[in-house]
Amino acid sequence: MPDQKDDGEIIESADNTQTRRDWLLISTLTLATAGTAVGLWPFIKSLNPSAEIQAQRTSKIDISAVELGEQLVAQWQGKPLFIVHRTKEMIEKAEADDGGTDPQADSERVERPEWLILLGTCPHLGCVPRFEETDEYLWVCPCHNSTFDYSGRVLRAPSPKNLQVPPYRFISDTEIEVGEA
Amino acid sequence: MAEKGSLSRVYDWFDRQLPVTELMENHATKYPTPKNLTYWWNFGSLAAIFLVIQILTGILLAVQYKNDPTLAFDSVQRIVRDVEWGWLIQPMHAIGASFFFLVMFIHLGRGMVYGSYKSPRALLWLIGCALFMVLVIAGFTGYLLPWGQMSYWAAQVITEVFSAVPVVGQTLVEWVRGSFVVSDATLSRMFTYHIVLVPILFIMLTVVHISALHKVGSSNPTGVEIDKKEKDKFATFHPLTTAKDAWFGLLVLMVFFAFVFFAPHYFTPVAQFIEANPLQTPPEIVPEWYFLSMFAILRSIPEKLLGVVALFGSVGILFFLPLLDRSPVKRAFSRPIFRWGLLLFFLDFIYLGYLGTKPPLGANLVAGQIATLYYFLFFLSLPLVTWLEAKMAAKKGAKDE
Amino acid sequence: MAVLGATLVLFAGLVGVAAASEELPPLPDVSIPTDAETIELGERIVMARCKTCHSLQYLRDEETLQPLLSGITPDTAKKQFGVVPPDLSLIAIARPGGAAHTYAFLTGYENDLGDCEKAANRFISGGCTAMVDPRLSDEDALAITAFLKEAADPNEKIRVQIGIWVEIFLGILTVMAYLVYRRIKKRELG
Ligand code: HEM
Ligand code: FES
Repeated sequence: MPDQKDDGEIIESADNTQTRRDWLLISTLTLATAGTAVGLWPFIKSLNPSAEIQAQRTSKIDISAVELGEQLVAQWQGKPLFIVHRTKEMIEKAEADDGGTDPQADSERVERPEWLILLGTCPHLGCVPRFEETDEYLWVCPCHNSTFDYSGRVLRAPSPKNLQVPPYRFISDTEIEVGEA
Repeated sequence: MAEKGSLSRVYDWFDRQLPVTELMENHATKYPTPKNLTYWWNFGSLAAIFLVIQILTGILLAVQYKNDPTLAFDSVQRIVRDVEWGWLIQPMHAIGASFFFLVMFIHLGRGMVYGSYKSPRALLWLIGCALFMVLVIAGFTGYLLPWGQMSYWAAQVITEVFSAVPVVGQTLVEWVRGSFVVSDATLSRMFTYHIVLVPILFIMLTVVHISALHKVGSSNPTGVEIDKKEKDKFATFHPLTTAKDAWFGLLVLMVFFAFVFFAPHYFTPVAQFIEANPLQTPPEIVPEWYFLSMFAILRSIPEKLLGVVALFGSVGILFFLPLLDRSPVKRAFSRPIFRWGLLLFFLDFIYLGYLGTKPPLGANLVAGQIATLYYFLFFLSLPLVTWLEAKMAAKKGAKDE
Repeated sequence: MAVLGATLVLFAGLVGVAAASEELPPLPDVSIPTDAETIELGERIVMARCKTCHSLQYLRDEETLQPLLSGITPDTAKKQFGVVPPDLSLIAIARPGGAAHTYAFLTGYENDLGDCEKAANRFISGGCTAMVDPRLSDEDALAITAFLKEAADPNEKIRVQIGIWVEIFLGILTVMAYLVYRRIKKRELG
């Protein structure tokens, strides 16, 4: 049985209890909900990487010590980073074709041909490929034997993709900055 | 009614297999609450609000904190400086502890004024005392974690307290510390107690506390139990009590956030901003304000073992209140002697807290001893007070005849 | 807002009481500047003069993001001064009286060494300090204090700004929730 209240609208719900919906209640609940949502935001944000870790978003790496034909394994954001100082022959091999199952020109993968900079995680399941110079390939993944050529492009499955090129720029001839701030 | 919405079908699916509606109606919406409760009955729900705040902020702090003496102090500074909103979360937890204690003291005091420890709520009171013990442990273990000078020396002194136990004292101290002094081992275990043991106990005991409450029902300010059949004296928990808890909770949160935003270091002694140094005690060690009364009791007794017994006794005696006070009258205001005794007890407790900030010398020492004596006398004299009050009532009854 | 105001007045009073320290002479009643220019000046002086002996390990170098360490190692300092100069990142809140103590210390040197070996300072208990008189002008001491205060509590500005909005929001919501409660009370209790 509905019960008339001073200014409230009457709503009869399924179990016959009267719920009063007036502007005051609605706006209070709305405000409270909005407040809770906004209030939880700082809590969620606090789980972001802290300023200390944000600072590692980009890394400066000195490449002057990398000998011709050698690889330096550096770290960027805690991930392995391959820096290869390519010889003339290596560059020729890399430029000869567009790789295997994931074709891409070598020129799109390097800033300067003598420096090949790659993320050292296998696109298959994340192992770190081993640097092993052969006629055919330059890296072989110890986990499931994917191979990668002189440009880091996949030759042999199971890896579906080429080794990834991270964002980087040359600060000078001997130093690069990896990552985007 | 038209075809049921999909939302209510989902609800029904749960309700068929879980007592959703039943639990909600019994414990929230339809739970009968006396209509005449005053705001003193709001502090239980406030304690729950602060429990939630402590758990939420605590989880976020635990994510960033490092429980290693070489990193602990540093990691707290990193939280405040480097973690997004860390400057908000860290003081919320620290100030939250103080508010939790404040709310708990008032909640407990309300229980004493309105005889909430008497039948049929004796077990409810005992569970409450256990919750208070957990809060004390939470406060103690948590205070060590920032690894400041005060953290370290407070923990050193309080764990040393166990050495007063005859024969096994030293063994006990080492058992508590996991080491000869407060050290890496102590920090690891206190951290574990603080973030695992304490929350589990809090949540379990809170559930039991509420279950017990809802079995026997709230008391009310008249001190006279209301018969369950007098339906017109009860309102359903929702909306009357929910609305009251909500607005009063918001009011307290306003004060809480005023501290968090405008005076986050208010309760933090300056020595806490200096990293713990096991080789140098700060000029004076004062515990957090909520331990001051207990601290004063400990220090006012010059004999080591007795002091420690008094320290634990001061909390432990709360458990015996239902046994000591057998008066059938619940409301303190209705009892001619008890009302003054209780008022004096509250003042005594606050005074002990004040003495806790002063060195226990000369007049302060004597005052501390008198105050400690009264603290225990209040409890231990309750059988006598009850007997005297019964006599007075009988005399008055005879006169009225 | 009235509640907020009252609360704030209460804080101010209580903080004042808590800050009163014993034995040392009363701290000078200074208002510490909060403007960016003064803080920057203070930073320059600290980096040029104090950082040779003191670390500020909770602050970072802007370029390398490394913690700011002192110019000399703790071991050398210990040999040279007998004590390791304290880290300065929290110093402005780690002494009774807070930043006022920092200012008092910096300007509290006595010309007469008395029994002290290195330097006499009125605001150190015992009266002696191992840090020689930096001979700072009043403005420089104030600027240094302003910087160290900011370093000790770098979030103060944003905290107060956000805090005011949070309090306004909670104030409005509390009043509205109270009005809701009052209506419900009227309906339920008559
Ligand atoms: C103007 C720059 C400086 C500032 C702002 C500064 C600030 C301070 C402060 C606030 C203290 C703490 C006082 C206390 O114990 O309460 C202190 C102590 C000390 N400072 Fe400095 N200081 C400065 C420069 C230096 C320099 C250049 C040296 C090295 C010669 C030095 C050596 C010390 C030592 C050895 C202590 C320890 C004193 C003791 O505990 O006896 N300070 N300083
Ligand atoms: S992870 Fe490299 S081939 Fe599988």
